[in-house]
This record gives sequence, structure tokens and C-alpha cells, in this order.
Amino acid sequence: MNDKYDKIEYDGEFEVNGEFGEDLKTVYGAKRGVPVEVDRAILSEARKHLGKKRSRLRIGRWAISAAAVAAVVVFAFVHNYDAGDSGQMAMVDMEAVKEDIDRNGRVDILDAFVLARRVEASEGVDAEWDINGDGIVDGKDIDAVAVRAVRINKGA
Amino acid sequence: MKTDGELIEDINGGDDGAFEVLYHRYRDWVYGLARRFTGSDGEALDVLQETFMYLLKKFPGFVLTAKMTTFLYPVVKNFSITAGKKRRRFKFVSTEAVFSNEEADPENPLDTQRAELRAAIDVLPENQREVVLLRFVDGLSLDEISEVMRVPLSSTKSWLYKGLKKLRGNAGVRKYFLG
Amino acid sequence: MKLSSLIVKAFLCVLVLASVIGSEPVARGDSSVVAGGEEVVYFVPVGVYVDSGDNSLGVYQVEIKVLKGDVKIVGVEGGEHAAFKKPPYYDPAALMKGRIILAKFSTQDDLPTGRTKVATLHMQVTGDVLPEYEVIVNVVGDGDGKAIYAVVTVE
Repeated sequence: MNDKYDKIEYDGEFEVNGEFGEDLKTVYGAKRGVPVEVDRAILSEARKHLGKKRSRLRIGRWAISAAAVAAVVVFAFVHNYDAGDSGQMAMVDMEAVKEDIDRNGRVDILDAFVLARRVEASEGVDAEWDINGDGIVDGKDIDAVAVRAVRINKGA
Repeated sequence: MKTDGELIEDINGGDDGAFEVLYHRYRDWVYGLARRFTGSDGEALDVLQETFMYLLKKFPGFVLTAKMTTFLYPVVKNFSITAGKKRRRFKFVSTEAVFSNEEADPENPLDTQRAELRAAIDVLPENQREVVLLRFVDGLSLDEISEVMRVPLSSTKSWLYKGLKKLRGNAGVRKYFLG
Repeated sequence: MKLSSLIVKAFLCVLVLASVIGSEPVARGDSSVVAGGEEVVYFVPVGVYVDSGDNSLGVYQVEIKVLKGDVKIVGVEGGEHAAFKKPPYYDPAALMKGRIILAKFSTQDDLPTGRTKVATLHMQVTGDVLPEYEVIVNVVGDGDGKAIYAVVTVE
């Protein structure tokens, strides 16, 4: 379609000498470098910003909430009335029983939420919830349930 | 040397050292680009800071889905525009106007040559000028230019071809062309 | 007490979006310079917002589908409030397609109320057909997981 443009790199008519790029850099380049004070200001902000986030990072177990209430959580969810296949999006195949933490017949983010609350409270944790089979019920199992909930092909 | 993706992963984990590496990797490119857009060292430094503050606020949680240059280019461009400077600083530049810059010496033939080059580039249509500068100042490939400008490769090639053709037709810059 | 599921027809949020220009400074490809009918490809961030009113937002799960336009989802970012800053859960298989399910919860005490940006989707749009999206809400709950009324929009 644009053969002549494809050849532009090799077309002698538009081949430029080395001076072209050099002079362009001289003309359009910055007349001075970035002052070190600017570097310091930006990197100082970065240390502040990232340092705050790092102090909240937890490795392994999920953060314990002081106000966590054990056991009883009432769930509700909204169904789309659209008759299309999205009406089935809240449903999952019944084979995914172990991820269905709240035993309502579907796997959604509420199952991950329930599991997270149980793990934080360190009570009422069922060994069946060891989703990844590593012998521990922890954040990785919570992630596994959540990943299942957002899968776009539920049968996969 | 860590890739940009690896650095970003580290930064998402709170590693400010990784951010410093990423900053230095792209600082000069961002500054040079901002300088071209704004025409001013001072404004370019403001844009540099705004650009990296914008990037910093993306963490944690930033997911890089394209090259860093592709991500940064529109950010720099938009901050430059909002800095109040027009991209086309001069619709037409006479050599006298450039000589008014204290750094240019009309007695120096090299300065005259560069002034003519500047004048010829500045009157190119915006997209042609941008492609020529991204190609020859920043050293981006045509594919990379397409990506940062977010246009098809055919458009990039077309603009480069037309831009070089116009420059070649300009007596003041004809000397740069071999053909 | 046995947990019981309630199907609540509290609301349906089916939003058809007319414009997809995001608030962040992202440039759109200039279609005016494309000659000869060549298609423009451009990228645009689309924010996902949950307005939970006076209720704290503790958990959500939404599905976003492209109804119109040649649009592919190319990236997912987190939201603005600390509770939802990290990217939501999503299926990587959704990338480069036109449908995605996003979900996230927080067990923190500090939860947002009102209108909260919970995620940003980066869309690759080809051509000049204005994209339209459908939002389907699967779950919206407070800090205890209790269902709450909320309005979910994309813009």
C-alpha cells in the first residue's frame, strides 16, 4: 500500500549525513542538564511515598483487623436481569465446591472475603479451605478463591 | 540490569531504590522531550517533576502494559501543553529571530547552519516535525515512534517521508542530504 | 446462624457510556492526520467508580463488557483510596478481549464512602466508533460484606 514509505530508510534521496542528527540534537536538546536539586526533590518524594506504602506491606498472613467479627456474615448480591449469558456470570460450575466458602452455590468475591475474615480471626478455619493444598490456610488460598471468582470462563 | 517491568515490580513492593533507577533511566529523555515541547529549560524542569510525580502516584498498583516511553510520552506532552506553552513556538522563524538568542553567534557559520535547520524544522507541520525529531534526536525506531504517538506505522512513515522531502527541498538544509 | 443468600433486585447498573475521555493526561491519536481511511489506534484510561453513598465500601465484584466499538482491554490498575489502591483481581485471559470481571475487598478499618474510583482499565480503541460499555454488578458490600446500595459507573 505504501511501498515508497517502506523504502524510506534506504532511499538515497532522503539519506542524511551524520551532521543532521548532531545539529538537531544541538538545536533541540536541552541547553543544560537537570540540576541535582531537582533530582533530590523528586527522589525525596519517592522515598516518602514508597516508604509509607512499604510500612503497610504484610508478608504471609493477611493484616489482622481489630474490629473483625467472627463467623456470622450475611451476604447479598445483585443479579443482572439481562437475559443474556451475563445472567449466568454470578453462577459457577458446581464442581468448584471447595472455593464456595459460604456454600451458596456460587463462587464470587464474597467467598474470598469470608475466608479472609476467618483467617484474620484465626478461628473457624476449615481444613477444606486449603485450596492450594499446601497444608496451610492463608493468603494464598484467599487469592485462589478470588482468582476463581473473576475467571471469565467459569468452566475453565 | 533489571528491565523496566522488574523495576516496576520492585517499586510496587515499596523499593524506592528501584524508582531511582527508573528515574535516571528516563530522566534525560523526559527532560529533552519537555524542552522541545515547551521551548524553555525552566518549564521543562517543571514538566519533568510533574511527570515523575504523576508516575510515582501510580504506585503501588502500577501495571506497565507498554514501553515506558509509550507511557511517558503523552504524559510529558500534556503537562507541557498545560504549562501554558504552545507546541509550535514559532510559526515561522527568520534567521534574525534566532540570532537574537544570546547563544547564537551570527559570525559563526555553524550557528548560521543550525539556525537555518531550526527554521526549516519549525515550519514543518506538527506531526512531521515531531516524527523527524523523535527519529533523529531521540533515536526512536519507526515502530517505537508509532507506539509513542499512538498512530499506525504507515502514518509515521508517511510523515517522516514528507518531512524529509520538505527539508530536502529547503536550500538552507539541502547540504545535510546525501542524495 | 446459617448463612443465607438473598437475591436482591436492589438495582441494576447498566451504563452506556458515550464518551471515554479519561481524567488523566493521556493523548489520543490524532485521527485528522490519518489519510486514506487508515484506522487510528489509541489508548484511553477508563475509570471504574463505585458510589456507595453513606455506606462504607468493603467489597465489590463487577463485570464490564464492551458493547460497541473495537475495544480491547490492555491494562488494569488499582483505584484511589488506600483500601483499593492495589489492582483488583481479574482474569489475565480477559486482556486483549472486550469483557472482564473485576473484584476486590478490603478488611481494613479505613474504608471509603461516597464515590470511589476502584480501578482503571486501559483500553485500546481502534477506529472512530465511540466505545460503549455495559457494567454488571455482581457484588457490592460494606465492611462486613453486607449488601449495600451502590451505583457503579465507568467513565
